[in-house]
Amino acid sequence: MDTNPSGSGLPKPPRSVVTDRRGPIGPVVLGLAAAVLTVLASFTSPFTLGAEAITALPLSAGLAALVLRLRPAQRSCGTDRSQHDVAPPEPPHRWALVWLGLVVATVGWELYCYLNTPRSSHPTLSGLIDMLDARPIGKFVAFSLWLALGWVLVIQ
Amino acid sequence: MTGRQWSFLIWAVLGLAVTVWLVATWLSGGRLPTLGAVLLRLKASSIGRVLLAVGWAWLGWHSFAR
Repeated sequence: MDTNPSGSGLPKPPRSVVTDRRGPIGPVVLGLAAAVLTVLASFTSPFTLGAEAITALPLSAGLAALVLRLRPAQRSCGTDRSQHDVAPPEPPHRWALVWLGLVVATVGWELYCYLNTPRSSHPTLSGLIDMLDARPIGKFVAFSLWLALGWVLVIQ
Repeated sequence: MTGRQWSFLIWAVLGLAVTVWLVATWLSGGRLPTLGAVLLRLKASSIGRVLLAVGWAWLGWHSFAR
């Protein structure tokens, strides 16, 4: 018989009475939910309650994930040194400025188009996206990409 | 060229520049910072993570809801 290492002679409790049977259910459920949401979104039109509700769902999930992600970092500040004892981050790579330049140029052009009329002569980024997702298949692809982007930027 | 055509041309140039830089950084073997590396660095700070989340939220709401 497997005895308790404390020497009391009592039988050693089993290491795992209840095995973890969760497996990959979480990602599967999330993937299914995202697929259902994307299909529903592909049949909505902007400026409708349906579109707002479908878009608000992942936004709410992202907000919740962001709050959960930020809270432990704030709580452990100054108390848990183990996370802060790692080496300081390397200084920013000078070539990272190219990314900054591209973002500034894109945002600048977006603002220029947004502030000028007529809209037909100054299409904004959302106008370009509207052209792509005017049909359900286009919206399906665009909404999928947006959800994937949210997963990478907010959840992960 | 009309104003609309100029606008599309500039959008295309911006898109091409982003694509070229994406490929260049990817092929550089770590010598140039990839988009993933820049995003990871941004996500390392709370303010960077919040900014990325706000940008993502704005993009989705602006594109699909209003």
